[in-house]
Amino acid sequence: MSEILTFLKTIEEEARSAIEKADDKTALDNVAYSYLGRKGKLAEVSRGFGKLDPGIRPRVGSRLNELKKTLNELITQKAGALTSVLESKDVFDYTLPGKRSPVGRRHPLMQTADRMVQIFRGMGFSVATGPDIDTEFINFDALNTPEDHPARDLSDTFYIKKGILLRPHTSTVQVRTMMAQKPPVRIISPGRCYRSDAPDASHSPVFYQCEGLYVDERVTFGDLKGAIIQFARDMFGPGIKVRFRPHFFPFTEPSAEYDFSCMICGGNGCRVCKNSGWLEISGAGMVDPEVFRAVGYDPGKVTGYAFGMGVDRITMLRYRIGDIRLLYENDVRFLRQF
Amino acid sequence: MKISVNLLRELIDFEWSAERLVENLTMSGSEVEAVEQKGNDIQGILAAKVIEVAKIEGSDKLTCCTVFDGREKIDVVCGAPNVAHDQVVLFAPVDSRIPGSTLEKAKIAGKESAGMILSEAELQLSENAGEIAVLPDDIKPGTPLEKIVDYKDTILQLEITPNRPDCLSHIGIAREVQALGGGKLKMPDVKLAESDIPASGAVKIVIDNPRGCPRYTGRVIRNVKIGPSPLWLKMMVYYLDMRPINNVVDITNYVMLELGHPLHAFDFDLFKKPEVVVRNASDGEKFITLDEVERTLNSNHLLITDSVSGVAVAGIMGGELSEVSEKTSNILLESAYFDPVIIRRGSKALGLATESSRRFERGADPEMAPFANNRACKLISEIAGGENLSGVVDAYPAPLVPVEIDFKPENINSLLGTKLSANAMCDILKGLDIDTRNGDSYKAIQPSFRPDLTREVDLSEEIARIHGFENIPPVFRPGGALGAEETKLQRLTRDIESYLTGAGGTEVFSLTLVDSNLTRRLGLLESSVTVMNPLSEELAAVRPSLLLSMLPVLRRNINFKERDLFLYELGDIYLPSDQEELPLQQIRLAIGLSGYEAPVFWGEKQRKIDFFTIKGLVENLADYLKLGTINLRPEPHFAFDKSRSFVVYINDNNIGYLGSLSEECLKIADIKEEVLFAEFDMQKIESLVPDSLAAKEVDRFPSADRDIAIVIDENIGAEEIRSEIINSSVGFADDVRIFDLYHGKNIPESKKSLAFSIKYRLPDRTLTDEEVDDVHGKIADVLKMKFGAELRS
Ligand SMILES: [Zn+2]
Repeated sequence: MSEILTFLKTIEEEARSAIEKADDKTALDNVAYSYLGRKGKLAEVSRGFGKLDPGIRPRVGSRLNELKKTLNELITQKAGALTSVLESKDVFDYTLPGKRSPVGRRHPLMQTADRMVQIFRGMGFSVATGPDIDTEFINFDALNTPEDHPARDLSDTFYIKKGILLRPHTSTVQVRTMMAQKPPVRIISPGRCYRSDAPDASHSPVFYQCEGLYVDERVTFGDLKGAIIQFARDMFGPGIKVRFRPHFFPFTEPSAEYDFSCMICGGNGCRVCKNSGWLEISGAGMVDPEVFRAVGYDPGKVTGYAFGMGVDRITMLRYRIGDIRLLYENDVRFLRQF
Repeated sequence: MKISVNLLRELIDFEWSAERLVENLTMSGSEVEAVEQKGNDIQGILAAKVIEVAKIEGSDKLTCCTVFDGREKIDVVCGAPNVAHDQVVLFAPVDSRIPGSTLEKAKIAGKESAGMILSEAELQLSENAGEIAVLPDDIKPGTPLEKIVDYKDTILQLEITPNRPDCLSHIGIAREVQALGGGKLKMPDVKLAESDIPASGAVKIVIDNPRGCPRYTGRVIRNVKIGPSPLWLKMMVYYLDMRPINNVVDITNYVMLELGHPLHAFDFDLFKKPEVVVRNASDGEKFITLDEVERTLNSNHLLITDSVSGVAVAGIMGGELSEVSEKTSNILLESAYFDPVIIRRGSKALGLATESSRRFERGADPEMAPFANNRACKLISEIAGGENLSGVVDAYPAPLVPVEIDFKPENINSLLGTKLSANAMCDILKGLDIDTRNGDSYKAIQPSFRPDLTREVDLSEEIARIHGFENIPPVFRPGGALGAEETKLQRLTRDIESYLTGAGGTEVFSLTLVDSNLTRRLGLLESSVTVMNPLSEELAAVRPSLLLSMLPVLRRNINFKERDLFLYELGDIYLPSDQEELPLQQIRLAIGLSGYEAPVFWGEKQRKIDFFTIKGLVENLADYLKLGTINLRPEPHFAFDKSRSFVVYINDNNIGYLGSLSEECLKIADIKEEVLFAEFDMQKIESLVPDSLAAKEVDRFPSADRDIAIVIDENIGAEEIRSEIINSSVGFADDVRIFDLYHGKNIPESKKSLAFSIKYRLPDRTLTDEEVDDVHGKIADVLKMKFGAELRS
């Protein structure tokens, strides 16, 4: 080994011990200056570089670089240890917080939507999507909604222009899917929906729905019940009960509303379920023959069920959120909980 | 719709408790939203006779009354203006209870008062609080209140779906109870005393528009005495949420609540001719309704006239000029059937919805018209006196024909998943008063009160709900392939979400409706889709970029002192389209950063985010998704600072843009922090994600690592030099990184110092020191030559 390399080795050892011994900031600064400064020991070696045997120069060069880097690191480390008032020199304080890398969060609505998709996919549903802005035909006519039905009113639904509107439900995706594809069809359609509701604790003009549709030969109301019950158990646990109450929708016959037993009080009655033990979830029913006619299916050959489901509603129940606006404000203090 | 359980029990005898009734109604489709107990807090009230009324000195309102309660005389102080000698009144003695209080002895205006003469409002029997309740003379003092009026009642608030107009009545709900096995429906009594004079001679009815008014019945009652209703009637009307007005009006309302059929009583003497002509109004025709508002009608409104001028807007509201008042003595009672569509449009055009219009627009029962008329006239003659002219004048030019519905029990079973017999189905329908016939096939006859039943599938709903949804067994089908696979975009979305979340990003889900002012001020309103009828300006534009919804989220959080933000959103944007009927919808990914990176560790300095933070993030993402190498090309963008505005390319594919928000943009968005933002087109990213990946083997030979530091002109891009190092390494350099950039001390003005660390490596053998030194030296020479680089030591 050449003389110069041995010399560098000695410098390194000296420097290491000097850094080690420095017990305050000034002492450390002095060490840094005497080794790494413009007139420091390493600079001195560099200045002599030209006089070296050319054969050895690259090795000395890289050794020099390496050494600079090492010393710099050691000094920075030591400086960190010295400046840190939290860490005393000798006592190992394990109660100091760990060095955590940043953790992100998925939005609770999206976590819930993912879970829902996962459950329904397990039942053989695929995920279909469609435009938020759609025609009045797809939104209402094809769904057997009477021409003067209040849902078509300007006071209920946002219009872009006459005949074009922001969908109030994702049934539009069902219509589009049926128009594009022969039966059997088994889909869920998560997506944003719009209604002209002033925002309050339980309303948002933009909200998130997930509707389902299954059309095939011999699909029955019993199948509808089975699908919803299975979903409820998967989502909220095996103890959950489901009940169906007759209701009315233009696009289904028979129509139902379905409730889940209150997961907060276990069905015994509490503030959330208004002491009824039941929580209203959404509507469902057997697809009306008129809808099949509108999309070109033969109502004599197929039957089907459809159901609605509010992703926001399920999310709010899942995490006991009392105000829907929290879901859309995107306050990171709120989102960090999920 | 409110239902009185007492009134319901008059129409059907059922043994169910109120709880059972509530459960059964809810589970068969008439959801009970609320249950209200009436009269629970009333106790010990009785009738008393006022024997003496004496003025109290120094008070112009109060009197000292002596009442007789059947056993003794009691002195009480009374403040009502209508108290008078010999009245029979409702009296609350000491220790009795009225809603809100228990009576005690009191001293009022210096007088002992041992009880209270009550108003109807004090017992919550009506809203009449201004005067005391005066009972008929034939009620004996001491008669307890429960013997006078059946004030204990249970009132149900029902949610009636729009397809069930028949359930907007007690008779309709009674029929539901019958169908559910509660008992047998009893129609109310309509046998009425009539005079010999035929009504047909007293009024002539002409229907000009029989489509709008298929049926109009009228009865005439003479010499009625208008006055307040008896207590039971007032109370029932009040319990069911209507305002007691006078006996005749209260009866028409009562019969409407009982039978579901709206009625209207006219002061017949105010008709200019003894005629009823039902015609369309003319456009712009003025009419004053009985709420004293002048309404402007159009030709779609149906107007009831006396052949000279209007007397009522058909099915919606009567006119002020023919209103029944205290002076009325002769009455024309209308009970008609109007077309639902005409009433719905008319009511909407007037912005006027009434109990009557609500029922007609959903569909009343044409066959109920004469029955309801008889029922009301019977009550009017009994309560308000008067003489019923004989007969109903009934204009019904084209009687409606009931629909015969063919049905196959097996179809119904296979829709519901049930195994009901045909007989069981017919029994259910019979309970709903739907007749069935069984010849070659099954037929059900649509009842006139069920406009919603026209098809087999409608019957299946009736059968399902009366059989009970809870009695239909759930079926758990096996899952299985019906095209349930994920699309590439769905998978990609998941990958991006998990990458960004893992990298510390918080996912945002924002409203797609954005502030039109903000959109306009950023110059995007012209090229945005806007809402024709927005709730407010803040929700009037449909976002043309995720930036529009990200800005308010950034602002909100920064205002709440959450300045260190790493937000991302995957969502749709919308752009107007010239060619297509519908706007263009695209899925985009947005990333917004502000403040400092990561949390602070003790002993470490926090780093402020800058352009390279977002660039690095995007580079990592591209790497993670295996998109290839990102390169940026400067290009102006409306929201970005001119010198920090780039389009992001993968090869020649523009996938989005990235930059630092300009001061102006931040000012417009009212954000007081530096913000870095990027937005990408997910479809473009999707097209660049490889469908498959072939893994490479790892290198088996060690690398030789060398650094090189140079001083060059500061305008030369780092990437240019990095590429040159790779190019001139004869394939030896397989990883070249920049580890230092330095300006300032010891570096000449307009120069910079850049330091690279280079890994030299070959896949098939170890490089010798000499080879490495040689190529490292050569690289240095090339950099000198090409860029005028000066080596630093
Ligand atoms: Zn509960």
